[in-house]
Amino acid sequence: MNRLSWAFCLAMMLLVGSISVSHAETSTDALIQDLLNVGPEGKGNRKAAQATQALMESDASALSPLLNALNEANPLAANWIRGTFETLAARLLEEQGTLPVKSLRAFFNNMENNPAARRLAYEYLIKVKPELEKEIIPASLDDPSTDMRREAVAHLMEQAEAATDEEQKLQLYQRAMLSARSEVQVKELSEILESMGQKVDLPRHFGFLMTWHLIGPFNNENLVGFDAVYPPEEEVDLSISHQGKEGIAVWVPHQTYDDYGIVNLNEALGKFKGSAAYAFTEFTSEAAQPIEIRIGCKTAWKLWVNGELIFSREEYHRGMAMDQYRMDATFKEGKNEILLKVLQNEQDEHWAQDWEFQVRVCDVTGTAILSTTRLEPPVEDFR
Amino acid sequence: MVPARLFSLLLIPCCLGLLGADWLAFRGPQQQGVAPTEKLPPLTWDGASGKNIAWKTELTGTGLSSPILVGDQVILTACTGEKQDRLHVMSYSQQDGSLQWERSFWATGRTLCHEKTRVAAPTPVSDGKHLFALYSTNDLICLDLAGNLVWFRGLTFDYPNASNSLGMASSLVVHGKTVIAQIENDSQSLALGINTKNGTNRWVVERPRLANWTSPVLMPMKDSKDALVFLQSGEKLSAYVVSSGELAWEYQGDCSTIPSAVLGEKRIFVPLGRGGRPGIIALPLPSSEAVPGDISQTAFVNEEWHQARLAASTASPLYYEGMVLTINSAGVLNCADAETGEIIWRGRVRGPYSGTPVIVSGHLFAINEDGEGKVVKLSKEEGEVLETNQLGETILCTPAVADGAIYVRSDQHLWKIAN
Repeated sequence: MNRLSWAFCLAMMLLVGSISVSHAETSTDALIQDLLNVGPEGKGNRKAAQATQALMESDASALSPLLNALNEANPLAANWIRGTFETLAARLLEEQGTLPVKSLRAFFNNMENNPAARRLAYEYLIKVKPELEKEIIPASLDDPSTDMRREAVAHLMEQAEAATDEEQKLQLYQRAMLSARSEVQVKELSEILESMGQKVDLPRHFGFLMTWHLIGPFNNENLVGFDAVYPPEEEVDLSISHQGKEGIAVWVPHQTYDDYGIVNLNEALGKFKGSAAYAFTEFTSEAAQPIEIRIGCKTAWKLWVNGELIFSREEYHRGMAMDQYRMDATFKEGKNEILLKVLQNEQDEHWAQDWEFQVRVCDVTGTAILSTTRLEPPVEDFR
Repeated sequence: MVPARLFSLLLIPCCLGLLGADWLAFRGPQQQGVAPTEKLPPLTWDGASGKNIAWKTELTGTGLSSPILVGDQVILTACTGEKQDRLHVMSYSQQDGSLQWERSFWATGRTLCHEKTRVAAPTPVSDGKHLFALYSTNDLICLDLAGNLVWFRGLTFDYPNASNSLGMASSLVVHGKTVIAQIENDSQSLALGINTKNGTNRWVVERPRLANWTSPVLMPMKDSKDALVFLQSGEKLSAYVVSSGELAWEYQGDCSTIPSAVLGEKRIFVPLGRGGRPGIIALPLPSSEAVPGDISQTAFVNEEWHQARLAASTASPLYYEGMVLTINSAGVLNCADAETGEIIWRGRVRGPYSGTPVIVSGHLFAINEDGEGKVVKLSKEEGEVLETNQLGETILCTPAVADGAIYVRSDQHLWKIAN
């Protein structure tokens, strides 16, 4: 074979190789797109089921594209991708005893990637390189992933507990508090810091809304109030009174001093069964931005932001917790209006008397977003 | 109007995908809590000394769903995380308890639940080829037996108000190519028949807007591959055709929202309690007069008997060889004649019980919340407590039994009790 023939053969081999690589990439991308296309009520499931089967038989090169896809996945697609990733990774681990550490690390290191996806990359990274945990966790105090951050805070709390120097101990606990987003950790840290003589502004840390205007009661006997449209739903004018269930109802200013921002309507307005009340507040946002509004409420409620109904929930006395309901919303720059309707039913059991709510504004990681006109100094000093 | 078509019904356990000594669903075959095997588990065991504990394995997450048994596998669900927002499905070897595989998913629904329960409360189900796992978040996952994802649904994503702040707990049932999820609460209540192959809806029916933790009960049809599924709620017990979701039969009246009904040979026994009337009622099983889908001809039934002293607490009633058995809130095991409802005998088994007992070859195995396990020999004359055993941990699940072994889980461990 002469030189020309060799060159021709080599060129053909490279061409075939590149076509095959390109085809594999296209194929992986197309399969992943089928996973990304899933939607409500099983939409896209048929294609996704075929795609996941094919992807689970791929090689390690499919792992990075799967992780990347999590950056644009809806919550359903995210689980399809996660399930596919885990099955493929488990198979590769069993067959080859390792995973592509470099690409997993690179994906994890890029803070622009989806926090939950980065956590997934980390979990598989330490399956093959467990020694990396000691390096990564202490450096994750400000990680966008709540799981990473929780472990970093736990690590720092262990260090603080072990510290013998009181000043160093205090500094470590204060640093941990700064990063903590977990309700359990924040509670524990605030108790420790207060025992060390430090004042902790929990409402500010979490971003609870503490200052409201309230009006009520309106009628909710036989649960008619949930669908009824009372005047505050049409227009909020704090200077106007309305005909309520017990006579004329007026807007009253209300400041809660509860550490977790709980507004007790039984105390603020009076104990009215079969009633509805409205709570209104303004939030000044320093920029137009996506936010999460998180609500805890034991009874039925409806939430509007800038006049748009965000979500409504008709359930009474089944339970209440911080961040019970998480909703996406968008704030415009400047003044934003938040209106909450909170209803009470007519149950007479002792456990069915609470009429209260808590609201906070934060980002997706649970980091507080504060109104630029939030009252200062800390709320405790208003007592 | 759906054309009138007659169907008759018969209990055919072999139609429900029973494979040898498998235990594929909450309360086992036909949700009766009775093992299809004569081989008795050990009558005595002790968690501390390891007596008759074949193995004990540590769990990575918490939960109170029951294990199910498929071939050599023990399938279990669990949840982890401060908010219980990581959902796990695990497969263990029945032989030695070793972990075969584990898959995890992100919760898409709400995770709040009462402190006594967990997001991993509903028991998974299998058709012998696939596993279906449901959580309090209404996330529904289908895997094959090797742990490969087949499909995923987030039912709260689809139906945003379908949740209960105390937690959801209804377990799944599967028949043929339909898996049935009962998603009932105060706000958005529904039941779904979902295609096992790809997770799409075969049918969706609206259900009463009442918090409800009961689980569906299957009854196969004679001369048909189809079945009826009984869905119990606080205000009625309804039977739907599994393949179509058509209503076939209904009892309208207060039923319990915690313990679930149990099938007998001629009747279904339904716990009461929500409306203030205690005890159990017996209803005649659907007959050939029932016409699915035609509300004007749907069989509306009346109770055959009511026994107020046969109250069930959290544990569901059992049916065994003409006997109906319940454990009440005082820890008393009651036995009644299934024909008449007359109480035959009563005996103390010390509660409280969250899990439903299981019956193997005439012996009832009941494990209370303290992990104390009673073995009661059953007869129509008496219930004789043979043994009292200790596991030493809080047990809230219903055990699974197969091939002379009991499988039970706590928040920390999964046990195999066997010789």
